[in-house]
Amino acid sequence: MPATKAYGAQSATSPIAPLTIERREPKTHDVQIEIKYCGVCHSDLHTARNEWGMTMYPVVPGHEIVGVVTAVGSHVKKFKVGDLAGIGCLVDSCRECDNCKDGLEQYCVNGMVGTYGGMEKMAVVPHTEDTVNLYWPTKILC
Amino acid sequence: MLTISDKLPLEGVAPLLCAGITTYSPLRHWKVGKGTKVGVLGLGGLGHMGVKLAVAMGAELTMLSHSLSKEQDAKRLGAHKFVLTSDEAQVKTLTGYFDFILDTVSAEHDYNFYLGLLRTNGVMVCVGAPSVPATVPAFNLIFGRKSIAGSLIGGLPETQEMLDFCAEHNIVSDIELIRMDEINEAYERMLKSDVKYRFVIDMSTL
Repeated sequence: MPATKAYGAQSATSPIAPLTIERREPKTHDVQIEIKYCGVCHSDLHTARNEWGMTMYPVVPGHEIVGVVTAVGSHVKKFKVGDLAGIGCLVDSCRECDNCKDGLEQYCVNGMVGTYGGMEKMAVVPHTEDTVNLYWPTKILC
Repeated sequence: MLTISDKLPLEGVAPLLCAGITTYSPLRHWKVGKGTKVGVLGLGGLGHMGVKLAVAMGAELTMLSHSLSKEQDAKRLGAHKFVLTSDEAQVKTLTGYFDFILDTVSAEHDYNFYLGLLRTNGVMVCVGAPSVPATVPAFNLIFGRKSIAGSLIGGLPETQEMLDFCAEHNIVSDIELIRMDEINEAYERMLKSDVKYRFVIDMSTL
C-alpha cells in the first residue's frame, strides 16, 4: 500500500505533528485524489483533543476537503483524472433506512460515518454510481 | 465524491463542505427566500456563511451581535441591518420581528431573549452547541407558536446542491490560508475567535 504524508494527533494532549499513513491502491470503484486544501473546523479541535470522547488515535483531523482526481477505478464514470472533487462531512451511512433513502444520510438511524483525514496528501475513496444518490464516498481512513 | 466547480477559488470552497452546508440546510428546510426576515446570531465561521447564503436566497438579513466591531464586516458580507444585542432600545424594535433566527453561537446564551424576537410561527434554529443546557419556559414557545430546532450538516445530495448554488451565486468562505505546520497555532487562535472567518490549510505545504 502506498504511504502518504499526513499531520495528526497521537493522543488528546499531544500537538498535531507529522506522521505517515497508508493508502490502498485504487480499486475498481475508487477515486484517488490529491488533497489541495483542507478547511479547519472547531470540531477538528474537539476530535484531536477527544473532547467528545469518541476519538481513536492516532487521528488525522480535517473534513473540509477539496482536491484533484489523480486516479479512478475502471468502473468510475463520473470522475476522471484532473477533475476537481470534494469530500464533505459524512462519508458513509447504512444506505437502507428511510432517512438514507431520502438523501438525509446525516440523520441515518443506524449512524452515519463522519469524515476525518483531511490533513493528508492523498485520499482514496470509493465512488458508487449505481445508487439512488450519485455522491457516495465512504470512510477514507479505513 | 462531490463535484466542484472550477469557477470559484478552490481554497474558499473547502469550508463550504462543513460551514456552508451546516447553514445552507436549515435555510432551505425552513424555506428562507425572498423577503424572509432572517436574523443571524454570531459572526464566525458558521455565521458568516449564514449571512452570505441567506442574502443570496433573497432574505432580509439582520446581524445580531454583542460586538460593535462586527458591524462593518457584517454589512460587507451582505447584512442589511446590524443590531447590537446589548442595545435595549434597538432590540426592542425587533420584538416579534423575525421569521427565522439562525443561532450559530456555541457559548452559553439565553435562548429566551431571542425567542422574544420571533414573530408568530417563527423558528430559531441552533447550529451552535453550547456545553450548558438551555432553560426555556414552555410559555415562551406557547405564546406565538414558536419553535426552537436544531440542524446537522446536510445529506450528500443537498451538499452537492449547496456547492452548485455557491458556484451560481459566486459564494465562497472568507478564509485565512495557512501552512500545514501552522495548524497548532491556528487551533489556539480559533479558540480565541481570532480568524476571519475560517482557516484553510494549503496542503502543498505538507
